Amino acid sequence: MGTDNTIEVADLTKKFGDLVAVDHLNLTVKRGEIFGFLGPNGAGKSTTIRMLCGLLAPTSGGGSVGRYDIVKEPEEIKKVIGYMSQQFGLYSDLTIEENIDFYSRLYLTDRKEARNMREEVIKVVELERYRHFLAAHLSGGWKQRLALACAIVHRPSILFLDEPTAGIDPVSRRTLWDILYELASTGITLFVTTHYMEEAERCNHIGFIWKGKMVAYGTPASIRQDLMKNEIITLRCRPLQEGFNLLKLNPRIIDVNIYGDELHVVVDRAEPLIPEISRYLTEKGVSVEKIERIEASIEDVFVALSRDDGK
Amino acid sequence: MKRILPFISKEFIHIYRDLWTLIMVFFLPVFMLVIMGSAITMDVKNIALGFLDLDNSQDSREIRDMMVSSGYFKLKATPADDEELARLIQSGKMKVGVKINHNFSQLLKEGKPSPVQILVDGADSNTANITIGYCESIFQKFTLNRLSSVIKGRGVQKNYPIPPVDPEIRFWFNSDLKSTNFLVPGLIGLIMMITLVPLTSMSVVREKERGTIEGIMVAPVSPLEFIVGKLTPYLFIAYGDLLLVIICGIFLFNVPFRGSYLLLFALSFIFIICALSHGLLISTLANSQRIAWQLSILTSILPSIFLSGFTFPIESMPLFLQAVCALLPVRYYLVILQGIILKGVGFRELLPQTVILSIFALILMRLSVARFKKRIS
Repeated sequence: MGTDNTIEVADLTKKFGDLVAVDHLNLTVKRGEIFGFLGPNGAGKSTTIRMLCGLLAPTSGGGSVGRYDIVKEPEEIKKVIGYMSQQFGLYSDLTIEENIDFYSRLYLTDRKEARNMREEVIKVVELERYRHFLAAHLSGGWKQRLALACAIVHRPSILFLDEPTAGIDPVSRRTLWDILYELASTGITLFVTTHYMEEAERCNHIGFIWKGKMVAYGTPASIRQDLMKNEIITLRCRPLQEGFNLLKLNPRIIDVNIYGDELHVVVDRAEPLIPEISRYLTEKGVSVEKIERIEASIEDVFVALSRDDGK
Repeated sequence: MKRILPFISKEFIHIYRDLWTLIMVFFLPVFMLVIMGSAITMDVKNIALGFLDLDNSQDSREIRDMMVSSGYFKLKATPADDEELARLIQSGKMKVGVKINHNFSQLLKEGKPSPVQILVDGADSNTANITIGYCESIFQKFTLNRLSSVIKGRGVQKNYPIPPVDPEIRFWFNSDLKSTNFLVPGLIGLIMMITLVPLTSMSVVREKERGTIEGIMVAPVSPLEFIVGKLTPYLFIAYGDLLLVIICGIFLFNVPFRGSYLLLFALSFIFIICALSHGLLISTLANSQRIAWQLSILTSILPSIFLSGFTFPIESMPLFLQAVCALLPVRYYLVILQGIILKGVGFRELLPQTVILSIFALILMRLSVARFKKRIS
């Protein structure tokens, strides 16, 4: 192939009856890259992953994963990828060692190699201490590490991670990401879906899928620049809800969202509107404590994209 | 096919770590055999007898002695009047009451019909039927004795054969009509169904329920490797249970084993394939272990108790139920089991059952594997 691309799909489409789950998706991921695949639930993320893993045949379109054709060579693809799902496909009545052992033998038919890899991967995810614990007795973060260990025990060149950090604490999330960076630095390509926007910012490239279509695609910075044509004003006022309701009615304001104790106001041009909004709210009896223009975050972009209905 | 081994060793760990599976695998078969073999005996013995003797003659005492000495009846009470007799039956203290009228002996001497009243507790119709049978044969014997002595008394010296036909009934294969002899082969079929169908269906469904099947499907494992790997441990368990029940049957209940062990084990393989495929088929229909369990009970255990010929004879069922029975593999397996264990017959006699069972095994296996492949892709 000659390119450095390890995932390359064109016009990938999957229909379930009348429903178009994935609609002419184009996607390129380079070797050793962390690709963040984002989108609301039901947008077509899982269907896309299932097609890339060779579990589901596309209705039309196609491409390659790890130099293998996703339509013709799904069994070859399975040998070079690892997959870690959101519900951790672990056997809770098996110990850590037995879980990893099972997956190592599933992939590596050479017993000696399987055993060596099992020992190596236990070191990588630092599970040595818990080796003989039942998986059921591990806490969320450690379970995740175990799931990751099972997914990389055969040294895959591409690793698919479907919401790997859903439902675990921030510290465990950070350590898991450290391990993921480590893996990426060894040349493994990571394909990650997530709902956490700060995780999206950590990726080399991100793609945002909405109703089966890729509506944004690029580096986090370029997405922020290109797609956020509007500007964002952050504003702290009291009472917050009152301010939110008032701004929502204002025709010059495109959108208002609540972020914690602040409001993010989406407008065409921020500078002229800042004094105006400030005056308007004060007149209505809402005290403005802080108001300034900010850089749009990935989260702002995606809220905006979702609101635009993917257009 | 190297990828089958990790499944087998993993499955054995699952079985070993789950108490309920272990109970179902090792305890249940023995428990069922002991319960069914000793408590629920279908032989009727020591029927509680109440004897109301108003005549108190030599003849009436002879009838009473004949009943008691037959071994089928146990004299529990000698009530003084009708009322007491009725009360004893109502309270369940007696299953059968015999009332001899005060002119019983008198009427016999006059050569007139002499009625004897027999009251049977009909609540348990099976026992009642057997009781009536015992009573009839005893009264018949009594009558014949009387008849022959009357004839002799009238001076008929010829060796007149009374009765003219004397049937010599002999029960083959189970000469003592011991119901455990019949029960143990039947139980083997039942126990195989109970252990195999729910266990296999639940073990496959568990992978679906917990999402672990996803991890397996993204691995380079073929569905067939998965199926063979998952089901092989239960094949071993089936043979273990088969051996366990046979050993218990022989040592606890003195069941004879007249045929060839090798033949039994070989033909059992066909039936085990049927049962495993049945379990796999259920796993493609159920999405939770609970549903899998219920479907297993409904489609395997209940039919193999009631429609296999184990408890009720198929020949006396209505025609449509007989048709249903014809579709149950366990029914044919039961014939094989009884044939080999009790009758000691060889392969030639069991050929029809073997052929039918093989057809079932092939159909069930192809159907379940095809459905399984379709479901996971």
